[in-house]
Amino acid sequence: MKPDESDRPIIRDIMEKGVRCPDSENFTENIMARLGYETPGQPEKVPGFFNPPAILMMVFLVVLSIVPFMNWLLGVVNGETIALMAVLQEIIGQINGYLLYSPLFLLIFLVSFILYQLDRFLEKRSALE
Amino acid sequence: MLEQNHIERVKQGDREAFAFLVDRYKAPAFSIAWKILKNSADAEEVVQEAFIKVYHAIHQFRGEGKFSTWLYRIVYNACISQVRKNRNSCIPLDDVPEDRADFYQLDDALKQVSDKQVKVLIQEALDELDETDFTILTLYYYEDKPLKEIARVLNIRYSNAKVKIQRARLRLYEVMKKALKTEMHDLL
Repeated sequence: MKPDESDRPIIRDIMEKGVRCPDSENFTENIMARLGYETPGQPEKVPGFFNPPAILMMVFLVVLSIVPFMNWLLGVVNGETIALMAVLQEIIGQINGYLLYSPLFLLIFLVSFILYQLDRFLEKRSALE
Repeated sequence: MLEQNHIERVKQGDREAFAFLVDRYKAPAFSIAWKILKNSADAEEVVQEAFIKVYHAIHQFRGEGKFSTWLYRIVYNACISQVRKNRNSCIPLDDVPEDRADFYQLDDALKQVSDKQVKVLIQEALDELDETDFTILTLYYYEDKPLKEIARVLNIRYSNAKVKIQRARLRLYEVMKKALKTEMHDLL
């Protein structure tokens, strides 16, 4: 059953008075400024490739690739630096070992990466439904 | 027709046309967001984001439904998503009042309130409603949306929307009656 339509003008009047406007006087201008000079229909500029898991992986790969060449890169250094390098090499060697000998490590990373991307995709899709 | 014309102009890159649409829908969209988020700054941010999403996805809008329904659905979903992120608790729903709503009596009482006070009084009374009631009343009475489209915005069944509008109407009467207690008493 639909509501009593005879009340409509009264309720409409109440709702008109009750609707709030944004506090900011420049609400529309702010939106237009945020849009910049983009043309409509273009996908929103969101970081695609440089997401947290990808950055983490890249940093790790860079460190992983330069560690074996540290001695060659740095040349003759003092004992303290050598000790620090040895610790770093040991840690990286351990992780490297996990990567090579433990598919589970890689699997965990891949699953977290896929879940992250899926979450972003679903969030974007539900927002536009 | 005018709205469709503006949408086509936005698709062709007319920014003025988009500003027109923002101006047209900012108040009801903000009111719905404000009601759900209970925070003016958050509501402004969510509504701005929603308009930006609409701008970027305007080519996806094929005009099968109404533009406003699409926009309100985006705003509503964004607000619900924000609430989930904020872990805000919703105001519990009261029991539906049983007595019949006499809006004519309410209208008479409203006429006794000065023009200056009436807006504040109504806004304070509407604050007592929960977000679903407020959204459904805004869309049905302020935006003249049919129940079918309201059901789409709120992601509920048509039959459910019919029940909800009845309940919202009765709750509105209750909160307004409470706000106009003195004026209503004077009328009797």
